[in-house]
Amino acid sequence: MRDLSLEFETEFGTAKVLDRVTFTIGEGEVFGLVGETGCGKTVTALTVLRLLPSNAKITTGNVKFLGEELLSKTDAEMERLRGTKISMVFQDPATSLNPVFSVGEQITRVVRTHEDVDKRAAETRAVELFKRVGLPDPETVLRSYPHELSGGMQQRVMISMALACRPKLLIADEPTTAVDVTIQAQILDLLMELQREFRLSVLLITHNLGIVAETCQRVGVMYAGALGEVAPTKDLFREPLHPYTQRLLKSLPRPDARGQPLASIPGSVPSLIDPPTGCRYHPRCEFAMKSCSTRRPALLEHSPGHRVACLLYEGVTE
Amino acid sequence: MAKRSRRGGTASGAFARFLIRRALLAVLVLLGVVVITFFLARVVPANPAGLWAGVHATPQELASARAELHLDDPLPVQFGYYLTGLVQGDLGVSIRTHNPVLDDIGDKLPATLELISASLLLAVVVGIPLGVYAGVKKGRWPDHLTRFLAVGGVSLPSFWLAVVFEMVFVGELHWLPSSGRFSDVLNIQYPLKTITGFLTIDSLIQGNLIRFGDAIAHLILPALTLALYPIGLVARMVRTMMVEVLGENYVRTAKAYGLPGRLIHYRYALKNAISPAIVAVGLSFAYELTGAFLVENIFAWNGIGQYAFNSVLSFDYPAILGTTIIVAMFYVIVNLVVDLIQSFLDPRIVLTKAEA
Repeated sequence: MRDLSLEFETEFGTAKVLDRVTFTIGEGEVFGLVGETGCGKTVTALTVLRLLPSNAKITTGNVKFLGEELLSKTDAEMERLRGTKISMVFQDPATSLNPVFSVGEQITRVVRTHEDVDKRAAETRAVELFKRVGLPDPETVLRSYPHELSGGMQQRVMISMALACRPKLLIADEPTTAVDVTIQAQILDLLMELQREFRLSVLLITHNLGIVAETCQRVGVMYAGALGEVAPTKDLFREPLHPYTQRLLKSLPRPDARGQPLASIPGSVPSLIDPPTGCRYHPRCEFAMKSCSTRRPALLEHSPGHRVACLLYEGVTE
Repeated sequence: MAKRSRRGGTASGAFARFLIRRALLAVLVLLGVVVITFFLARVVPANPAGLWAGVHATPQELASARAELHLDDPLPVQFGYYLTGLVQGDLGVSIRTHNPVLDDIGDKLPATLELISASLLLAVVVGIPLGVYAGVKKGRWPDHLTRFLAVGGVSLPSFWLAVVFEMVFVGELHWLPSSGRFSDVLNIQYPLKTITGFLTIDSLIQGNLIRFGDAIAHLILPALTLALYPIGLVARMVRTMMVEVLGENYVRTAKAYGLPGRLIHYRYALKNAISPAIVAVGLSFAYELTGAFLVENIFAWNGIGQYAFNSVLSFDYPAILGTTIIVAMFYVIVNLVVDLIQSFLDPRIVLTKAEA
């Protein structure tokens, strides 16, 4: 994904939702995308699948998948790609599954749309997948409706559906936000197991740095529609460069800081309709300089594999 | 939690209990309808005995008519007579036609049922795809066009439409017969046995294609006139629900898995969006049993609506009561059918759970 910029036409004006977002995900790699709610993580994911709402307009950039440009594909070509090469697990499994069809029907429908198999074969595959994702009594689950399953089970069904046609890239949009904490760990473990087993590339979207630390090889930090920093996970936690990343890491609760108030970042997320000029983070940045409000930092390599978009590292002093 | 009937086991028992409870409820509703209609009909000052015996009746004849109709008994006693007859399936004798009311209704009801079924079939077959299409193309010209058609269908009065249709398709173009359910000549040439009372079905059963074509030709105009309102209603309801449902997460999921648009719209979304339209069709059905009388009148469609209308005009209270009870029964049945369809479409609706 290179230089992806995107705008939403809204009744309040044009929202510049993504600003030259650039990153790559290697084969079999888990890439984490972190950021606050509304910073453009989900929109980035939907762009890959070309599922943006009709008021969205891509202004610059391209998205390449296995060497092919996705943004210039026809709708029919995209339909063949969705669910087969690229699939997505959504945030809220309770509303992401159709309430009036059995989960078996929904998953076999996906299989049969993309592959020439009969209903029995599709059901057999669904049952195998249900077993693989740890659903008890898969035959019963097959005939269940979403409301008859718990949140964790629903998410396991979603994951089975995502894997049903052996995708190369799995986009997981906050897959554990809607389930409770004990289930969260199970779902994450399962995703990582399956990632290794199927050699999946994963784009994991989350606002939880803890999840990133446990699962991702590389991570991108997003702020107000722009990538601030992209780095191998280890490097990011050891040596965060971008002031926003630094504050973000400081705001994590720590056992040795017991009794002290949690650190937070002063100010609030800017409006995307009228974003700050220059670096979008500068109004909240403790190191902000004069030129930060006029010059937009580029995402430059600071050390091997570690890129940051901040004037502090571009040798600008004032 | 009670399980649904499809799951077998104890569920079918629960389903039977549900049906029994609904049947008991229906009896109560019907009883209420009988009480209200019976006493309301007697409040109206009229002279049933005079109607019964005719204009030139002697005082003796009038007196015997009064005795025969139990008119000299107090009202509660009369009501007792009526209820006794009712539970034996006797709706009394029409004062106007001197036939048993049940025979009259049995005679006219199939004609109306055939007409309403045809018009509501049109409403479903035309209205639902129209609504889906408008919902998918929200804000673009197909949406505006269907809105225009729907508002037109809902607001044009049926008696006016009927007359216009007659003028155009019968008067000018001579494409279709003007009135009645069949042509008299064909009726003599190719007599039909009455099996269901639906001419289209009876002619098909007996393999009489000429009579079938004739029945269809007679059915088109009145059915179309009656259908325009429900077509518009159904189209708008489906459209509104579709717009809502298409914004749901599960529709996005379906798209994210590359399912084809037709499947998403007509299966995944429509099944979630169709419920209000089914209620509307059900209510239209019950309403049009007697509500269609204007259209029946214009097309000389000898149905139950016309019968009820004429009964009211001549204070034929056994007939009024009889048709009211039958129509109320249809309301109850239609409601039950609508509930069953809805629970079949949406597994989250559990009918067998105890209702408050």
